[in-house]
Amino acid sequence: MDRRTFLRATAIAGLASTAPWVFPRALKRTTAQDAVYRGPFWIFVSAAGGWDPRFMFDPIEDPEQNRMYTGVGSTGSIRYAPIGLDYERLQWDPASGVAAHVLTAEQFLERHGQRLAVVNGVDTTTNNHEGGSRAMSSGQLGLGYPALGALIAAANAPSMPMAFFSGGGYDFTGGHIPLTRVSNASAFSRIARPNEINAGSEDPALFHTQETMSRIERFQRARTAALRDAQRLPTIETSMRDLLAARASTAVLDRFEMPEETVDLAPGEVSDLESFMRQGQMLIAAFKSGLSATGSIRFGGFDTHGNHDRDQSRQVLKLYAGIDYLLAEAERNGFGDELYVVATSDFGRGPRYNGENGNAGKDHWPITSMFALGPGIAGNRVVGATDDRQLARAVDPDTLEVDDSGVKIGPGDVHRALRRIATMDDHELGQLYPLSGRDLNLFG
Amino acid sequence: MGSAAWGYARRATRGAFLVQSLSIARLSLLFLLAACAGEVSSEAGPDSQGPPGSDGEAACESQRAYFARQVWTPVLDRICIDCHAPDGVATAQNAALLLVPSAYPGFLDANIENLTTVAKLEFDGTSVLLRKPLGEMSHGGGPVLSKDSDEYAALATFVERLSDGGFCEDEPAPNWDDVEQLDAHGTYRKATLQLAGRLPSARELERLDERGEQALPDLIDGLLEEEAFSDRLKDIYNDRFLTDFYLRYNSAAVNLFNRDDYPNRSGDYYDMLDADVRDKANRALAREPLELIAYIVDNDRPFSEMLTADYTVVNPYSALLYDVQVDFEDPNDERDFVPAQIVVRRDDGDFEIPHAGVLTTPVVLNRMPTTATNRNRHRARRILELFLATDVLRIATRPIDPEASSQFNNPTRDDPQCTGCHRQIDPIAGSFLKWDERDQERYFPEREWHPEMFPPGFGTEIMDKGEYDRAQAWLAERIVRDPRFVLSVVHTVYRGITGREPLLYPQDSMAEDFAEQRAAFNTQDATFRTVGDAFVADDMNLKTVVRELVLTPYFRAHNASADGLEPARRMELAKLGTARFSIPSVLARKIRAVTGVRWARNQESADYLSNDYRVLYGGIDSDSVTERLTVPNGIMANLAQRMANEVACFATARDFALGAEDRLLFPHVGPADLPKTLNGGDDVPAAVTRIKQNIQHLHERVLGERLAEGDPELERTYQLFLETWQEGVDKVQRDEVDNSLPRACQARTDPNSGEELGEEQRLITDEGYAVRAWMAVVTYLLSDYKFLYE
Repeated sequence: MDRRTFLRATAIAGLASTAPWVFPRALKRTTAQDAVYRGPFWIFVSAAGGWDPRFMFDPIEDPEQNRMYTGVGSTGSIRYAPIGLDYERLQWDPASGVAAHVLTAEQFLERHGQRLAVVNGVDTTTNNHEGGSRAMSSGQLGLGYPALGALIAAANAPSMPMAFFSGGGYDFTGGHIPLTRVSNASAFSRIARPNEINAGSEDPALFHTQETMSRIERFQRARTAALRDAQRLPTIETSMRDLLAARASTAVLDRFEMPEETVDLAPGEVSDLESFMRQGQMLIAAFKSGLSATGSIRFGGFDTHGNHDRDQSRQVLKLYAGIDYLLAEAERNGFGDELYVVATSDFGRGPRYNGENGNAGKDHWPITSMFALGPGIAGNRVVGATDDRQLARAVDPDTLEVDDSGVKIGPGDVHRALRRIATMDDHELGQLYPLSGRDLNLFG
Repeated sequence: MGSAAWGYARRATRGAFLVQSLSIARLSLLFLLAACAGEVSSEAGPDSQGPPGSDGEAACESQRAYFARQVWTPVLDRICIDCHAPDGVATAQNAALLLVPSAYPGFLDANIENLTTVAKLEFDGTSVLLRKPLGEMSHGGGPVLSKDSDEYAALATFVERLSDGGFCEDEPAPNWDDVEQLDAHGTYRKATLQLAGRLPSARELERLDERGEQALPDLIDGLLEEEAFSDRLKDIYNDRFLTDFYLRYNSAAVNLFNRDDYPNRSGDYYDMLDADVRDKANRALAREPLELIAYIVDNDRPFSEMLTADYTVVNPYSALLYDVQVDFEDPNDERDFVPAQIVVRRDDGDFEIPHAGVLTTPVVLNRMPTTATNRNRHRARRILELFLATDVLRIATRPIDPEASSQFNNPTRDDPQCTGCHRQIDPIAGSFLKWDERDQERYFPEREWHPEMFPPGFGTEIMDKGEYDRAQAWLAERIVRDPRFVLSVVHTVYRGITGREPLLYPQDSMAEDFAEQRAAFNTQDATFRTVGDAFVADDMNLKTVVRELVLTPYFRAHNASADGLEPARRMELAKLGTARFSIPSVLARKIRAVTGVRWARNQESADYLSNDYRVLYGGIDSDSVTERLTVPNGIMANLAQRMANEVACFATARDFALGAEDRLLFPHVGPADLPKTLNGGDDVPAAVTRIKQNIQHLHERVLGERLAEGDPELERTYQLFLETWQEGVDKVQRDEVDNSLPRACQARTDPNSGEELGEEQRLITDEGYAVRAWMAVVTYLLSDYKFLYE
């Protein structure tokens, strides 16, 4: 069995460990010794449920497909659905303070359009949520491929305690790296300093003297190693290595810099956006502390089988605001130039409404869009298209111009392009999970 | 009857609950082998050398094993299934040969059954199975095999074995010779901690000493009668239902209920109740399906009632909300759940809810919500997943062509790309026809089904319209008769007690480790079928599944034999042995069972691991986080360390403050037992003996290790104690630390009740530094692999 086959097989069998034994030291870009990861950073935003590209950057004036807006907006090269903050149609209370928190496409593009790359007409070839989410997060519809965020973290920051920080969405790691859940920020100081009785306070009292604590840890390591050496059953042997690896990564945890204040939006209408921003706040803090490389955020509410116009529009305006927040926070913390944001959804919606009245929804549709921003990504750019039936148009593989004799863009193409940006295309981990599709220059 | 024929009959009987499925899954009874295009080379064909062993042994291979090895993978799965799958061309033309893919639970048995039926049909004295692939008898796919190919030979042997009976009845028992399993003591300790949240009692240990392995089944059965097991079972099923989502605030479940149908949930009544009563009422409603399961299991009723029960369960608090009149032994007992029939009173007349176990509970209906356009399909998918072990999305992952689909006005009914799944999903969805699509738990007896969809039913059986008033019950009766129901129960318990997903049949037959993966699947599948048989034989008593799984190597394996494992065998055993990072709720109970104290902020607070740290420690919130983490990360590692430090702090001095006979951790030593004299540094042999004896006790109590005197691990722990003690004594002498314990670690109050201890019970100082040295030992053991993992 060659090395590639072995690694893949062990990962599939759940044997791939987070411990260094799986990957040679040469693969690591950050080790416990340098202990600070300084980028680039990636945030993958998953708009869960299946967004409607017609309400975003693949607009159309066709009452069969769009009853929400008239006309089509454009900023630079990017066309957009001009959905405004219409309180009546969105059924938002004008007194709720929502206006201060959401963002229209026009506002979003004014701020970020020059950095934004949009890919339209992506054919996920599926209408099921899990499959679509998997395909758009890993590049493969079938089972078994890790999320790109997990691969990038495993390749770049394998020794970081929160290398892949997940707030939800498809976050399968393939066993290449442990997953850390984003959770309550206030718990972190107690966790980061386990030997301080009142961690986070001025009280310096310890459970054990530093010397004793070091001794306990030394004895722990020796005993776990002895148990591991005597263990011959692969599952248990791997779990022991996992524990040793997890412990080895904790020394830097006390460097975690807590956000000064937790995001606090007006209650009610935008509680899901508040949750999005809080997750983003934790990711940004983890990046700033040098403890994480990648993160994911799941933002739901897009599965609009009913009340499509109201609910889809609401979520789109909140989504723009959430991503704007991530970019602004990264900028404020000094690493705006190191952050990639990739936004995808399970699939699309359409092409028609499923009813005649104002409560009508739109059902699942395999053709979707995605967008990305970050260093090296050519902005103010739209690649791919759909026709008036919302079917994907083929593109010339070289020029990327619409060409019916060309190729249709799929999740595999998108991820091949993303992997190139992340320099994962020639990385051994990337090669463990070869992608279908072609090398299209989707992001410049 | 010849031995072989008898053997086949036995096999069919033993697996009877599995093969029934064919009639349910079968889409057609008409005879037609159709449409498999393309001649196939014999590369990667059937094994030419036969099964392992001598020729004589080869003749004794079971028909099932032969089918799996020689017929399924190299012939049917490679050549025939594209057309003969449920959504294949041949099936659409009513071919008799219907093959279900390997993602379908029990696919081997279902396919053997079907192939056997087809093989027994003859035309001109030759089995149809041997004629159609040659292109004869109008085979729609034309010739797909040549007569001299290995594949054809495999089919011929399959047919020949049917008539000659040239196979053994039973499959060989799995070989576990190279696997070390926990002994009776180890198995029982693991089971008590995980299932009952306690350690084995002295009496139980005596029985294990006396009867060893023989004592285990009865002892496990005893465990399953305990209230703590009931709680554990509810946790296991919540991992599937996620209904604890409605515990997130104290009216979350109550707010689901429609005020007109359930007026007692309205502000005039519910809001007037005491907060404590409201909380209990919400909990009772939120956990109604889990409590129903617990009721069924506690009372040894057939577990099929989980779906077929024509009642639900209420306690005194949910009875208030439902406004049902039932008797309770104790009207204040939150745990007293009894069966009840819910009646809805409307202006146009009262009616009884047609209960069908958990399916008709309001929280399940809301946790599997539908919409006016989804039309219960999500519910149907979840039913297939939860109760029929079938991930319908895995069965049909093939790409969709939207252009082709747009040619159909009703693609879910007419587009072959869609009907493969929707033919299974929509009839089940139809059983929810009378439940409202907006107010999920409201029932409307007059509702009808959508005529443009597949009609309500199950598999190919269409529900009679006369059954629409009890549609869920009708569906439930069929689900529990389906062999996949048994498998789903075994799978759920297996997930619950091992933390592992059941193995899937390997999909890539060209993978280098395919044979090992297949062997691993076959072994586990055989184990599950045996457990399922026992479950069915015991009138579907769920406790039987738990007991039987606990006794398998999937729960007990803890090492491989000293000779080690060959690489291929390592792959085969890749998922054996739990090695599970304890889930938060199990670890919380274990901490209390072992140390006598809870890890919590204070006496009133919930355990840290059930509340503050549940998600960070890899648990679920039944909302956005629904999958448990199985590999610890740095956060979890530090959390475990903090737990060990804090619990050692709370428990050590407190334990020493008890009388020696009441101590859990330190029955053999006291704070005055020092390894050396304080002034001269001379050894104190008697004290050292007691210290080592206590270390031996701690290894057994905390880690379950029964180590002999002199064991290197005991010596290692003693060295930790000794070095820590020496460090402390030196620092005390140099005034770098004082004689008092850290305030948080002093024994001033009872850590569980919060009550102040009497003056004589307090332990505040640590003159000889022994208490702090023991704290280090307890921290060390509580953070050990064997404590943190199961």
